[in-house]
Amino acid sequence: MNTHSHKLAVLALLFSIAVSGCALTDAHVKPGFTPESGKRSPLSTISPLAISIQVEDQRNPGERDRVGDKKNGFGAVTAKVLSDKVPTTILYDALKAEFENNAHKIVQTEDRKADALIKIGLKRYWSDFAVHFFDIEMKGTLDADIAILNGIDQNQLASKPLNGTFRESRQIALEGAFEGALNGALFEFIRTFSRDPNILDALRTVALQKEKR
Amino acid sequence: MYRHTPLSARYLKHVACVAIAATLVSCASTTGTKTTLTSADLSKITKAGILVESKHPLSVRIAREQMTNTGAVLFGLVGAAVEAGYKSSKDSGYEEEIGRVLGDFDPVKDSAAAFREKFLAGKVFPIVEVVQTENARGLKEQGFDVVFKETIEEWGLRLCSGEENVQVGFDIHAQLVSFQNDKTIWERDELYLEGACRPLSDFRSDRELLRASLRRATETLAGRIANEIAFP
Repeated sequence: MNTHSHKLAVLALLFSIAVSGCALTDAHVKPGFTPESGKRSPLSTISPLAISIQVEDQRNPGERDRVGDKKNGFGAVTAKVLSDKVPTTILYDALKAEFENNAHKIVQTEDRKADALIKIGLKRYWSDFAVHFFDIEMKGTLDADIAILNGIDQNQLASKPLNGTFRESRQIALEGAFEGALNGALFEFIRTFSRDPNILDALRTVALQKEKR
Repeated sequence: MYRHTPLSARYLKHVACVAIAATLVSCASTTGTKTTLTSADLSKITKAGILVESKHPLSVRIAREQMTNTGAVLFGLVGAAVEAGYKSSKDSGYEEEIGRVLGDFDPVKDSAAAFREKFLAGKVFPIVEVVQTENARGLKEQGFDVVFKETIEEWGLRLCSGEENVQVGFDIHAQLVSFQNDKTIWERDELYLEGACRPLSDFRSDRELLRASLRRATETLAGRIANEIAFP
């Protein structure tokens, strides 16, 4: 083997060690949602409400310790994608920020002062990827069951599964790619929530009932 | 020793390789809003046309969502092609079977009607009409300021994330093109999933379930897109 081939072999070995190192260590992500300043959603068209949010973790018990898996080319899991914050808290904070950005107030359930109660069962918050020839497709998913109740009589006004899906084409998938996919899914989920006709109708009904009281 | 091959033969080999790879690959479009509309732009629109197109019939994505890449890793392009072909043919079987129970659901017609209703109800545009062409000149002459164009890239049933069940999904590209300057003033890619995840057998056995789920998805998606445009 000549010197040139030798150098190439050493470089290839170093590169494979570096890449496998990336794949074998857990990724730490900090997903979160910040509303775009000055931008209102259809939630702003509803008279200000006192809202209580409850988020219950209903994720598959086998997935509760992480928000994604790192995998090798054969699809075998090599490491975990770990969130610094609990997913239920991430979702609660995101919804709180969205409501507050649209002039509503978040109250504690225990205070019993809520006009509307939003019950959420978080089903999945997950980042994943598929390797294609020319790119890596990153995917982020947030699935939840939503129920909207009148805060006074606990009458259920809407109930539906809601989903936030994000996908993106990348050339390389490092830790930031997982965080990007999770952020994208959370962003899309909040946009879906605040623009869903059924959810908006339910909250409008609460506002109307409040005006009549 | 490097074996000399005629340039044209080498060139053809490379072209063939790239062509095979390109057919196996479709870079996924990034979801989300690409071009945002301003309130000023929106207020200038009086008459909007709606044009809906669908590239494919009903699709069932189950096997294709479970690609492992094992074929590609072990046998390169040929392995990937075999795996993709096998999974695709498996999904085609489901599509043929499920497609028979669709009845009168037409994603193009139903979506166009839903958009018209939601745009008018939400007062997004004062006048809305469904059109059959995107010919800018013709539409401009008829008084249209913009055309809202939805391309349904894929519609049907998709494997739910992390489970064996399926749900209704629409993979769409939507854009609003202004005739004032022939520019896209709003654009969004969306993978919209609707309703509960259910076993595929539920959709096979209950003819009305799939039709009702698709109609509900069409209507909710139209309402959501109307809100996306009105609240950029």
